[in-house]
Amino acid sequence: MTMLTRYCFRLRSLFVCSLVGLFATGCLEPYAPPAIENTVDLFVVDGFLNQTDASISVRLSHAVALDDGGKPPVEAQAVVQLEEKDGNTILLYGDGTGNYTAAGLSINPEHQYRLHIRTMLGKEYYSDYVDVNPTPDIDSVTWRPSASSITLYTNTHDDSGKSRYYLWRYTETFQYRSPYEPGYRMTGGKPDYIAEVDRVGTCWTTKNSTSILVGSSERLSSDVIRDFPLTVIAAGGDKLSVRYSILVEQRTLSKDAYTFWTELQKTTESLGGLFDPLPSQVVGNVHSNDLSEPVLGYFSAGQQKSERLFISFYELPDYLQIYPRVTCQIDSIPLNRLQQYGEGTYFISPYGVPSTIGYTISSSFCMDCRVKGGVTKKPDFWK
Amino acid sequence: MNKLYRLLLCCFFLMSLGIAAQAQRRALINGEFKATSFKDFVDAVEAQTDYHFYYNPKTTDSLKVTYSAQNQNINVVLGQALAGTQLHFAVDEQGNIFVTEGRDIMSDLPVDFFDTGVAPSNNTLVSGFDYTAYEKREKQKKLAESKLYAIGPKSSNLQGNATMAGHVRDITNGEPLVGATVYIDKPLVGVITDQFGYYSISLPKGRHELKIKSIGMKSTVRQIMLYADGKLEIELDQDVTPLKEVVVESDKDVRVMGMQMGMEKLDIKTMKNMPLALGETDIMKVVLSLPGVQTVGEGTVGLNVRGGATNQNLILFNDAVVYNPSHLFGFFSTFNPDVLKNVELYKSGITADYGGRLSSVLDVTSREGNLKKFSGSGGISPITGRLTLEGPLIKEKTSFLLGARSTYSDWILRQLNTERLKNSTASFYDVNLNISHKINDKNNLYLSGYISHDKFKLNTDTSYAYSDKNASIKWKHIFNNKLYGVLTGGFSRYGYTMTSDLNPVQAFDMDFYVQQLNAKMDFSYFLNAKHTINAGLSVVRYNLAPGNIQPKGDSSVQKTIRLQHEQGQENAVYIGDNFEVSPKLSIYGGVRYSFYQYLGPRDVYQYANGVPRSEANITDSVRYGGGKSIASFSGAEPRFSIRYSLSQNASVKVSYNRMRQYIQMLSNTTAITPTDIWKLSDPYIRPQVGDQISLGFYKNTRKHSLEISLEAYYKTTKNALDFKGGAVLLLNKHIETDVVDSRGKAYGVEFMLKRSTGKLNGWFSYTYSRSFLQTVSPYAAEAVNKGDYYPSNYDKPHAVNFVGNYKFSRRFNFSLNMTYSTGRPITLPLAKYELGGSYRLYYSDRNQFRIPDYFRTDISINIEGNHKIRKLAHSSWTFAIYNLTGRANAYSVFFRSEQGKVQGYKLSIFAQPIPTVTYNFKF
Repeated sequence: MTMLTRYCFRLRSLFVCSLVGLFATGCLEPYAPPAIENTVDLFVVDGFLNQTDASISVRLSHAVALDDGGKPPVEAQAVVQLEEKDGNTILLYGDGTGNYTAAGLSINPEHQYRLHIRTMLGKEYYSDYVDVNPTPDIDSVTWRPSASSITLYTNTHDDSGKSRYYLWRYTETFQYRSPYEPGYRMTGGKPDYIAEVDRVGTCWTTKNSTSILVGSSERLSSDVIRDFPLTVIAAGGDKLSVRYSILVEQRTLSKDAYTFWTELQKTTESLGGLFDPLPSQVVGNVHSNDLSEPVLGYFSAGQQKSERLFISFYELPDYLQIYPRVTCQIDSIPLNRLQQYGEGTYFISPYGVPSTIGYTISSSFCMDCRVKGGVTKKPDFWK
Repeated sequence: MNKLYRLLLCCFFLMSLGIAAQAQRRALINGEFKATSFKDFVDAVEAQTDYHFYYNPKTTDSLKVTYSAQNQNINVVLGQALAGTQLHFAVDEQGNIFVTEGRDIMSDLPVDFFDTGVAPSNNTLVSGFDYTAYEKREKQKKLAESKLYAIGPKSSNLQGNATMAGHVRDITNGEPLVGATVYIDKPLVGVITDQFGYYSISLPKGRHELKIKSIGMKSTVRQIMLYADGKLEIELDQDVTPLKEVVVESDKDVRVMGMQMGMEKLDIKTMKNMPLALGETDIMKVVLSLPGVQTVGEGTVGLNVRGGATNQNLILFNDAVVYNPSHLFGFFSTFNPDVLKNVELYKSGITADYGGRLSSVLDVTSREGNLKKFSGSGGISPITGRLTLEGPLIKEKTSFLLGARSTYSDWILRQLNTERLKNSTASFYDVNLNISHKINDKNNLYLSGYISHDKFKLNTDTSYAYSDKNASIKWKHIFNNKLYGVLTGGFSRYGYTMTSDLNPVQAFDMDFYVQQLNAKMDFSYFLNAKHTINAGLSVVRYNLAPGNIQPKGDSSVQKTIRLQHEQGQENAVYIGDNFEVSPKLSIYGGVRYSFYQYLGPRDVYQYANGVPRSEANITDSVRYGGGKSIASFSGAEPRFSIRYSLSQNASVKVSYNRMRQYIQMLSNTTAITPTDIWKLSDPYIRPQVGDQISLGFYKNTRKHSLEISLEAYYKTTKNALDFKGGAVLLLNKHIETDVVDSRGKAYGVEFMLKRSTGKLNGWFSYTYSRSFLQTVSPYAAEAVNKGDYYPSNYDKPHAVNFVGNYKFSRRFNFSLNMTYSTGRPITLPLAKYELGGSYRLYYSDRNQFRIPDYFRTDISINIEGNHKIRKLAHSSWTFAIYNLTGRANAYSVFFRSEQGKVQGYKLSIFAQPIPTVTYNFKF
């Protein structure tokens, strides 16, 4: 036993390194790959025919080199058509930024549809014909607290047992406040009280999901998805500081589409563990006339169901009701130095009793919530 | 004072009583000797009495005995006869008389030890000396070395050859010595003992000095007079000071003179000197320091031998197949160092008695229990504790060896502050039991059982457990000096279970197992000095449960899925002949013929012709009844090697072998995982076939102290499995739709410089090797890298290893271990694109890039306790530092899209120096 205690110290460092290196991210270092010359132009198609709102949206873009800092270039001048098998062809409207849409479609769920794309350079692409997949309603979106965060889950089921493969996307919107809401703004050379509509102390930020969320009840005896984890939100951040909302969208996938998204998820989101599969090229259901040209992306069709959930700060368990920690310094600006500040500068409030002798000010990060990327306009669905 | 006097008196009385008692049982001696030669004197005495003399003719040839005896006691007669000479004599209870020069000897020495069955006397009354056991053995050794052993009934016909055979054993515990060399110098004829310590050598009749050498043992000689076929049992003493002279005298000659090429043999002593991570001698890691053996990353257990896949190694533990030799994800091998004897790795020139895997044979042998006394050993390292007990069940006949090892890593994990690890558990144990029983001189029985078990849960809801169990029974029967046979029965089972219960709706239990029963008969026939013939047959019956999953708990809606069990039978016959054409030229030729059947009951899917096999192309399902053959494969596996000696110190060898493999592991991850499944060859997955040709040059210099070897090989593989992108291997009812056929080729050159004697010993090796795979598919969509050859995951062209030991003294030993290799190939992303709300990656063709090169240095110091032979327990300490330079070697490089951005990461496992301390003891 003395042996054990004597080497306990060593054991600890040993285990932290080896086990953490294995299972956590302890011994991870950033890695920049060798410069790779990529001469292949890869065309990317991301399309969905939405039966629920009778619309279609397709985004066309190109892949870029890994170290390219810019946005991937879009394919803005293509002719995109939706073709119904043995039926109509509908031309999509391009907005000039790579998005092509059409609305008010009459979609026959019994029929199959495909995409037909002709680029400006004359290259032609077809997707496979896909079925229009009915989607069951989302039963509920729930959340549960853990030690320092909350996890959001979605639930659904299909009594017919035909859905089986699901894809989820979500949009998060959260309300947050700047630490010191400014009450005054430099207008015409002097601080002026800000009207309610122009206030910048409360913002809303909206973010789309970035991970691929796919799930299946393939191996279950009934077509039930219970507690599929969508996202984990740490307490003490802006997201849960006032009120949080999530809009979950659910689609049923064909087995092929499910395989595609699962593979894509495996190769780009969960590689690198000791026992993770080797990366591979993931091929979708869009093909070029030139058979040797790989095309990335997928086109699918079906219903899309959605569900919204709100969580406000006071619903959190007491131990998770943590305000965001920021260090903000407040300065006092005497009236005679106000002219140094330009038009539009925010001030928190006047000071001096009975007569104002100056205004308090902080950094714009601490006063203007928009600096963090939010907007002050309250979303329509916010109740 | 008075007391002491009485005690002495008492002793004296007892002593004289003892002598008196002896004398009474022996006839008294009469005779007139006048300048009689000592030999004639001895003959006369032996004729009159049942005394038996042992003496060295050399020391007595000048002695003339002149004495007249009338009914006199032997002690008186000899006392007179030898008076005035340097000769001493001693008489023991059995009537043996030992005549020695110089120092007196104890007459109670078990010199008749070589006459098996006679228990040595424990009477110490005659002894005036306090001999230690060691000195006793030294005396015995000298006696045995000077004695002339007559082999076969005396005859005057000394024409032609005769065969002598027997066992070479360790004198301290009766354990057989494997790979000991038994030879004579003139003419140079030699053999090597087999796995039972058995040797059989054909020599010209007449007088010879037979030399015996073995690793870590004292070399000895036997004077023999070979009249006819006969038996000679030989016991060797352990080299008590192995630190001074660790090595491998026998192997020095083997590398040049032996038939085998591409073989490395390591005994446990060599392995224990190497510095290793986590303070545990690990044979799998030691094997990795040999040329031609690679791994995809440290901390993984899979071996890639000469460009072969990890499932292409036949790992045998006492003749039973081991499917997963790893504990704790590969940080440890499942072989307990305390029970091991040695490890042999065959990379090429594999003889016909082995079959079933393509790349290599890793033959791990455990020790046999001590036949003479109870003893034990054990050790404590940062991760494990182990204890081994052994001893005789019936003295000199039956022994046992029981070894157990377990970890306290669960305890360590609980001490950690990290929340992530606190909820994790990881534990393992392994147990070995060996029983060997000598039925009589011609029959031996060996039983071996082994269990390893692992359990872990890594802060997830899923817990895993896996276990390897095997058992073997071996019966060796010696028909005569020239022929012996071994009948082996074995059982192996590897299985794992997964349990998940976090989400009650999806809670499940899943399990998998592969199991085999095998029986084989092997015969060795020493036809004459030029031919040794081995032949045998073997039957292996496989049974696999490829996967079962069932709901756990009442609220679980998990579907019960039971994949159909798989059955197969692999039969083989083989024959091989070692033919020594001339002292310069030896040839081994052999052939193995294997016949395999994939058996029902089973429903087999049928697929449409002319299109890739996929779920959508299933046309029908055909039912095969129990025991019905669904598919069968067979083929000859020729093996040959040639050795030609250029001189006494140099030789060239050539070998060719073909291997067939009927069971393969399905894995599309870089490292072996505990949850990889095995699959039998079936109508769609054909057996793998491998061919290898190799050429080697061997030279020993400086009186064999430096061995140089250079080997080159070229290897091809057919029907290796590769997987389609995103293949699902677990619980897949039609795995054939997810695999593609591929072929492989590998070639390389291995250079090794080894010094096995002296204060500084060790080896240096450099390997250049390449390994490629190519998809064989008529469908372009299935072809990896457009159907071109691409580097395999373990293609590491340059590898340099240095293993060195320096012995400062008998108690301090310093070891240095350095490893360099090219980074393994990886697939890197070429481009990124937006899809599904985030950047995704487009990967290059498979394995077109490499992770950074690997380099590591380890050191260790062994400190032995003092070398007093007699004490309660012998202990030793090992201090080691793994990865001394703290280089963060890349285990893997990967990319992830996080928060809509692509991040590259390099993962290292042992990114800093890791010190360990191990305490070992032996009693």
